[in-house]
Amino acid sequence: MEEKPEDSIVLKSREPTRIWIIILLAIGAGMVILFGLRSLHSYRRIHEAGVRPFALHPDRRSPHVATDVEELRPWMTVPQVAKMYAVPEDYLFQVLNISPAENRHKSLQIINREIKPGVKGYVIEKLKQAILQFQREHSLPEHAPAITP
Amino acid sequence: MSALTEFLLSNVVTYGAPVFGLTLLVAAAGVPLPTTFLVVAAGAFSQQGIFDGLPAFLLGLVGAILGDSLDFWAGRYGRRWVLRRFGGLVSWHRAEVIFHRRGGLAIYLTRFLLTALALPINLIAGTSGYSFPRFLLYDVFGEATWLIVYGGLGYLFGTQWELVSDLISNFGGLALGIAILVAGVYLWHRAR
Repeated sequence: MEEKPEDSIVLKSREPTRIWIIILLAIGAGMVILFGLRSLHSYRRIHEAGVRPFALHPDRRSPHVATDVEELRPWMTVPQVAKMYAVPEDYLFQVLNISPAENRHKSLQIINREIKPGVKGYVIEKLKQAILQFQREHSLPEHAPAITP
Repeated sequence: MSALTEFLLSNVVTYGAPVFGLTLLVAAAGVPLPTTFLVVAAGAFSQQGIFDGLPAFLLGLVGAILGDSLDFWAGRYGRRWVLRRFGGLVSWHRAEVIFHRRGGLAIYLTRFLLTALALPINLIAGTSGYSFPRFLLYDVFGEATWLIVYGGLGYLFGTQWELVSDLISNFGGLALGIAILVAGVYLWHRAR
């Protein structure tokens, strides 16, 4: 009869079965193909857009000031837009005909919902026109003024 | 861009570094939030002068480390239960030995390259009895690398950060796929 040492730790072996390894390999291969293609697509988009570090828009006179109004997004706030495009905040609030105190922390999307609920993109469109007009009338400063919290 | 991402971006822009740090803490603690996207955006906002980069970096680093530490201690808290359930398995003991030997690299790489595995690695580090000061050391270096590299890319590419962020996100998925494939090949050879 075999004797078992009392104080030794009994370790059981549970190796991963082949089927689990195959599933793991399939997931890995799938991810490599999917994300590999997506990475390639993203790289092409960047290449086509001509994105470079500190790239300057043809009209841009300073890397700190944006001029392409197509970079406006619904999640942005009015002070952020003012800072990005070196346009006074008050001017933008005036164009939208809203109070700065009540709206400086709201996103453009929320402002749009409040002032023109039925017209999607109204605020962004209005700001685009205002920025372009302001930039036509004024020369761009080298550095934009700071946002006041 | 999802409504959640837009909500986070609006709040980071409005309230700056404290909200950025808090978001990284919540995400590191296990809530799935698009933080790499947010780090790239923070770099771009810093370049545009929308907020100051240094406080954002410091609060982001503190937030991420606190979140990771919470996971680590959750793992440590569950150690007794895990040992009762798996402690008798050869594979568990082998995994513990390997983690103690190579865990530092795993902790470092999962902070910025294989970010999807950061939470499981934090829990495993806690559960396997890995030393907390050592965990903290690799965690600080890893999170600092994450913030500097991705925030730096946002800073470099400025208003074009969304395109760059898209590439980073896909590249992260590719890196994870490669890691899974390598693990699968390793297990296959060992099983033969």
